[in-house]
Amino acid sequence: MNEAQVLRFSRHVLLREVGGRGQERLLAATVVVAGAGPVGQAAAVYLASHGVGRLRVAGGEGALEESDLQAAPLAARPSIGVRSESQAEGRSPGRNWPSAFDALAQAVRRADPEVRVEAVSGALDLGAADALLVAGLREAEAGPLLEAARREGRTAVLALAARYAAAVAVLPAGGACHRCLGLRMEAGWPGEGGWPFGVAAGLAGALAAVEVTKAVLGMGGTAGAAAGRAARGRLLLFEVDGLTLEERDLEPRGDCPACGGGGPTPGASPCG
Amino acid sequence: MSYVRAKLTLESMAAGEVLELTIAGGEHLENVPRSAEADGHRVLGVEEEIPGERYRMFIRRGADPWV
Repeated sequence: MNEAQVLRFSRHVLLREVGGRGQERLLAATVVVAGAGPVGQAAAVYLASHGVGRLRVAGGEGALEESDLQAAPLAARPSIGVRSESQAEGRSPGRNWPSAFDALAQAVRRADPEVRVEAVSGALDLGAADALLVAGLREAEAGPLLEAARREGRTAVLALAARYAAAVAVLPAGGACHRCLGLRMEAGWPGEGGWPFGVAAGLAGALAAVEVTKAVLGMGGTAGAAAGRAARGRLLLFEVDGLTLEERDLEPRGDCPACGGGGPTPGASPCG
Repeated sequence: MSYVRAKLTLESMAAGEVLELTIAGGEHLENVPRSAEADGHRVLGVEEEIPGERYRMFIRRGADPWV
């Protein structure tokens, strides 16, 4: 770390579980954020604040709308006549609202201008990524990404918000797969239960940033029950209306159509 | 920032090596040894150089730091 970084992250350095080496790991890390909506924006800002050096962001090409602001307060409201970055580059014609990606990038730069934020288009390459965060995507979009992360042996964090609920699942390679998670949710895939109450999206993003940061640092329990939970997977459910936080251990399910309880076979096609 | 810089130096050392550092008096004299012990290092001693102003502290790097 240079002098500016020592000052910037001195409080992290003081934490036993982070220290100088952990902070350097974060500064060198690349995190792929799939989903640039309100959940992804909140997560990206906290990841930037934590010092993650590079964020590769997939999605978010479409312009924001007025109604998005209730769950995306980090997005700067555009001035009339001001064009967003992507509009200036000719990627999106004639609207004054920034794209979700531009809103995310602007918020990240406010948090830390040193963080590299890149838009990813086309196939998502997890090759150089230290962690994958799937933020606010529906199962049809999230599933293939989570399958790819498992095939490549990477821990993925899934963050979703619906109505008054924020859900964050940590899915380590070899543990429960996302289909096991879906089967455990009595009401089905948690992200498809309706638009989130504003702060629920931010909570999902913030909680997800914690879990991604821990994955990069190698935290999450090194012994006993904590290590077992970290290896199998965890689900955090925050209900905003009742102010309750529930944690569930995720177990691979024997009746899971994707992994059959043994975790997906590397290279296998995902089950429908 | 006193312990931050000491901690960064300790992380670069091998377990069992001893760091000698000069610190100011006042709150640093309390905070640095407390933080070092909490991180698993051992404070071997403190010598007074200029009473109330400057001290030399010796810290043995712990064998099992988290990182």
